[in-house]
Amino acid sequence: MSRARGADVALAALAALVVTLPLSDLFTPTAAWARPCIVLVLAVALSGIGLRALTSVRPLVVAGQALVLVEAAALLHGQGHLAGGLLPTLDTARAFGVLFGEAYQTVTQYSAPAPADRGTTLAISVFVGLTALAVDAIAVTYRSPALAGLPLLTAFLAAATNTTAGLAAWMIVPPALVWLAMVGRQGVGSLRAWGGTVEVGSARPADPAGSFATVARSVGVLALATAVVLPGLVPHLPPTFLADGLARGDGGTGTGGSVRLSTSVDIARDLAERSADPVLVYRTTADDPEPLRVALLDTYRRGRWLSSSDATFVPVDGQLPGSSAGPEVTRTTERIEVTRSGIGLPQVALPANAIGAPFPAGSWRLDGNGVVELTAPAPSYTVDYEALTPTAAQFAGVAADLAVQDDLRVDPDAQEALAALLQRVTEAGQTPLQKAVAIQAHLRSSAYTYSEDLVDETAAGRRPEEPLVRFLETRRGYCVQFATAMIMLAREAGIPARMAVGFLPGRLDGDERVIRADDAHAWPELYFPQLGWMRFEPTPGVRSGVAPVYSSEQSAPEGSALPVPTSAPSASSSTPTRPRGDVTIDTPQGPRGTSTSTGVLRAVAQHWPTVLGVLGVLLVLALTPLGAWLARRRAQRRARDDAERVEAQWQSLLLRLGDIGLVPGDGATPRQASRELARAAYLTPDEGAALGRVVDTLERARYARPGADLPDVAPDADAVWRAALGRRRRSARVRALFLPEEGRRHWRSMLGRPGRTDAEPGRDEDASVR
Amino acid sequence: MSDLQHDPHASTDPTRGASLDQVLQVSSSLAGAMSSVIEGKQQVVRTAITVLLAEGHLLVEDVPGVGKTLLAKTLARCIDASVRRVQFTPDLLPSDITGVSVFNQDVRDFEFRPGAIFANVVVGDEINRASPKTQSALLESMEEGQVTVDGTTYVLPRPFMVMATQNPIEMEGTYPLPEAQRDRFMARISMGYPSARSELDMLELHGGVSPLEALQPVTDAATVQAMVEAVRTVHASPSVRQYIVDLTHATRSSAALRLGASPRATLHLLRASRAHAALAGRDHVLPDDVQQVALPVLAHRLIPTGETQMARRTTGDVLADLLQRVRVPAPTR
Repeated sequence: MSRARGADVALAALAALVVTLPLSDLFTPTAAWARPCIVLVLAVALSGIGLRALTSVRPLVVAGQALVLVEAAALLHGQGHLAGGLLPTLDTARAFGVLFGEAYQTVTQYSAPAPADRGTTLAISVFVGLTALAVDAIAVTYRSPALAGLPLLTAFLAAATNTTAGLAAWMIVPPALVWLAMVGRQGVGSLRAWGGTVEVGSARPADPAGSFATVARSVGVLALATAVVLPGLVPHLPPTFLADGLARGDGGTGTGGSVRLSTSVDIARDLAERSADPVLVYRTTADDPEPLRVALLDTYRRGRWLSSSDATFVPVDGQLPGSSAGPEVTRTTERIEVTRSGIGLPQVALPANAIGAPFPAGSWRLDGNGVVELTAPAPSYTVDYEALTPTAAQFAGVAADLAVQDDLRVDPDAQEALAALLQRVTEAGQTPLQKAVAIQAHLRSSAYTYSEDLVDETAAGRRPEEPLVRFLETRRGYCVQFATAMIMLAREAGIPARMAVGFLPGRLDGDERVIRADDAHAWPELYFPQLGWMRFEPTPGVRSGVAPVYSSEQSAPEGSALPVPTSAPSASSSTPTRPRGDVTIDTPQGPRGTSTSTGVLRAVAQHWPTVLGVLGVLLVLALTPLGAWLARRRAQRRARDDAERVEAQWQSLLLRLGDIGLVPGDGATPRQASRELARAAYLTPDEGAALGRVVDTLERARYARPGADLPDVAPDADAVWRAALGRRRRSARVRALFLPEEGRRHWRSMLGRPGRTDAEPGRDEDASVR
Repeated sequence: MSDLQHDPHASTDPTRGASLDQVLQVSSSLAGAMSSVIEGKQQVVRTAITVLLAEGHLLVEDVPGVGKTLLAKTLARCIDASVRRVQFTPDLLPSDITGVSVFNQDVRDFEFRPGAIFANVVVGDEINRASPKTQSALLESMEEGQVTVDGTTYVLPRPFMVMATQNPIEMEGTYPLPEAQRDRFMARISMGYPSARSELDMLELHGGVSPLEALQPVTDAATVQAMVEAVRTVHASPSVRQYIVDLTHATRSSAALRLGASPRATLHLLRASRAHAALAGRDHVLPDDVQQVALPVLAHRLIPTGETQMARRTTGDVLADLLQRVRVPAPTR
């Protein structure tokens, strides 16, 4: 190996370029930033070659490359800020600082794909250049290509983690292949270096790297295959999975997979495709069941709902608190009996005013909003709750509790729009209940459209930044937007409000109700001092909840609002074509318990890149054996007589035995070859007899008068080959099965390239030395 | 060679099968009979029969007392044919071998009196003791199967085989065979010392009456001649012929040899290979047959260079190397 090490340098540069592939999803147009990247990588690689030729002091080489990188970046991006048009100065540094600042702005402001302006182009190319420098220094200058995987992985992950939609599984393949090639080259090279001279008296020069290379190749191929196949088989983990803690994420509930509602709701997001798998099965005594609540979100910031409370406590009496309404409020106690819950820890679906102690002590606690968190799985439970039937008078009063002051906070960006809207919808002097009902009626009116796909632009072509304002202007959205709007309008009107996330009551199936994953829903809860938190339902549409009686009764006198539907969809509201709930759910996409063909088809459809990859790998694996088969068939077809057919079968047998390391001596007669093979392959007498029959037929084909009786030797030849194969090591067997020389020769001859031997395939064994 | 003896896949070509079967049968009984006298020397016996079937002449070369003459006599006795034994001495005259024309008083004319050569099997004992002049008297007869005396040519009976013995150690009073003479022998074999076991058996066997005396002929001259004819029909494919030519060419171009094999050697090699194949019951020659007979057929015709002799390598060693090196040609049809 010379000090220049051209191939190593090329591989290192290629690796640095290949890991930037994921960036093409992040910045457009790709061409704008790709060119400077290539230039910087080339600068690093070429300067490395030159410097290594000049000096063997490694730190000097790396320092020199860094200087070249800086100079190249300055020439590329710092025009106008260079001394003499060539050398970078402090001014260049300042200019770069500004550009980096712009890049930061772009990255933080835009969602992918971001425009590739001057700042991002500089940042990306410097990032790629530094990666190239690190890889080149580690892999080539310090000759540790394995370690070069670290900067490569860093660069790859930096790009991969910033994609919103996730990276295609195959994206890891090119960098991994290039890295493996680097590692492989170094390994083979170093092994050859110390083993290359020892070959005294051996007929064929032993390649010392051979056995190691075989192992290394197997490990590499296996690792690569695993890296491709595994991500396809393992379900995609929710982004919050690690933060939530692995132990808590492992629900272990009775149903196939567990479902959890996202505890942060992004109101700017379109609804993703969701499954219709059952989540919860329960019986209830109520005629008109309430939605089941899973979480409460009270803080809205930049279009996202979060729960502000992270404190938890266990009530002293060990009982659920129930409603905070006074005893004067009429109530009935209802019961739900959950027979199967597929909701993942720590979430649990409960009616709003649950009472009693449905879970064993120590397996649950309450968070600051009074939402139950489980610490142990509860696949089935029975819980009582209070259904309030308040009178209109009981809604009176102004909330003055300090505890609910936070629930009056209105998003400042949307305040202006909210205030204007509120003024249109409500009238001064209305009671809080009247205001709330008016807001609900407004949102359920035909002015709003239920849609799972959000639009960015208003009819007037404006693009409001704040998602809530955008909703108020585009008037398209699903439950999250409707609930958010009602909450904010209520808060603007002085009524504390928060968002509840949970499930609609589901469908009746016999005497049981079944909640499916797409029954997920969000609704507002408004606070009234005498009653506590009361549910409202501003979302129109089929899959919306039933509006509470108290809110619909009040709506009758309001002439401006449309009648609120109770259980049937409103005629005025636009009906979504695909009815479904509308809160984001993290559903593990693992294999389900169903083993029907549709399940398989769905799995294939969901994991098509993996399936394609696996099929591709299988195809590649089958290619050479297929070539061997084709070669045999071709030889059989081309044989003009029995003698040529037998000859072809013999050559095929020799090649196949050669695959497992059984090669008869050069220029041996068939008889000698058969003796050598029988000895080397440890053939039993029976198998030896089979080989004897093959050889005898071959001898007659070759040396007897033409027209001799020549039986088909293929069965005997196959028997010999199988017997010999069975006594070799597994690695040799695998190689013989997947990479038969016969197949390789076939493809080589197909490609028009001459094989290793000068003679035509099958004749080399007998070529004379003359 | 022993693995070829009982070839289980012997071809049975219906057109010549009878003949070849007969060859197999007679030769094995011949070998059996000879082995009952010559203890533990199957290889030698087999080569002798091969040479007989290939119409060649055999040179048995070894130290005294290992049974050279016994071998020759045994083969001769096993065949019911005319056998002559000539003890070569320095004063032996050519006419003693070929025959001489004497004046017959009764008919008043010269009359040819055949010499020792006029027999189916001629055993020439200690052939290197005779003068070159006498040795060369054998030349024409061995090569052409005829004798010319006083301008008249006399055809020798068929089959005709000369088995000569010679002692390589004793130099005093011997005349080494000239190259031309050696080349006329199809094969040279060495007896070699018997194994301890065979020697013990020999003591038992030869202690009383000589087994040679009890030996009965197992075949006759006509049968042998038929067998020879049958052997001529054994098929040698072009690639086998090519192999034979490759081998003899290799001896000529070998740096270790001063004199390579003659074209006659090529011919002898083919004939011996045919006989060898026939002895295995096959109707076609394999390269293996050629390899088996190459050493006895070629070794005695080659003359090593000085360097080879200095390196104490025999022509047999050189031949073994060549057999390794020369590749079997691809089958051509």
